[in-house]
Amino acid sequence: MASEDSLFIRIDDPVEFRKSLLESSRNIVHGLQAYERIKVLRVQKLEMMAQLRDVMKDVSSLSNRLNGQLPAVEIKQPEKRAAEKKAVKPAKKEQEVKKKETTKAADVAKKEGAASKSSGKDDLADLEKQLKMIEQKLSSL
Amino acid sequence: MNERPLFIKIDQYDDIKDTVKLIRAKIGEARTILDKIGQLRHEEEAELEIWRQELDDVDKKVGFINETLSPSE
Repeated sequence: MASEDSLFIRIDDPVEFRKSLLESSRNIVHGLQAYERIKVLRVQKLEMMAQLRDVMKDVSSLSNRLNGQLPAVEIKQPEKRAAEKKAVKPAKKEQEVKKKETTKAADVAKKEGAASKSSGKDDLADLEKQLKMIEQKLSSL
Repeated sequence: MNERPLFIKIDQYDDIKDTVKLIRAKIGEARTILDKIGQLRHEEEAELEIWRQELDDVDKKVGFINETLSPSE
């Protein structure tokens, strides 16, 4: 069986042939070494991304805190000037209510943030929710 | 839109300044991390380029081996 398949092949440059075999083996090993280095780099990158996520979460909670610290001001349209003076006192009350609401919202967001740590899938939904709230506030301006 | 200036009373001015300072520090931190991620990405791309070159070399050499082993083709 083996003898039927056997064939003599002339190799003109046996040194070059052997060299090609060895060099291709060496290249493959180099490739595998590159793979190991890429694996390490990806682990480092994931760690950095986790750090970045934590920092961004800090920025988000600080931003919520700042939002709560700043007074809630009702921006009035120019034509409502006459009604402005009368509305000064209710506006103050509204400010306090709004301030309480924002602190409540910040607390709720904090609690929600803590709960979402347990499940990664909720993170995206939470962010979507926050984004909707911000968009709503922006469109009301 | 309302273009008139607005004056607001800020009760906890120092606290607000501190919060803004903290936010700016965190943004700086985020920027540093982002730069590091970019650097790692460049390193990864360089490694992938090396990998591609090694693969091209192997392809050439295996091509030569194939030609040597099948002279009639």
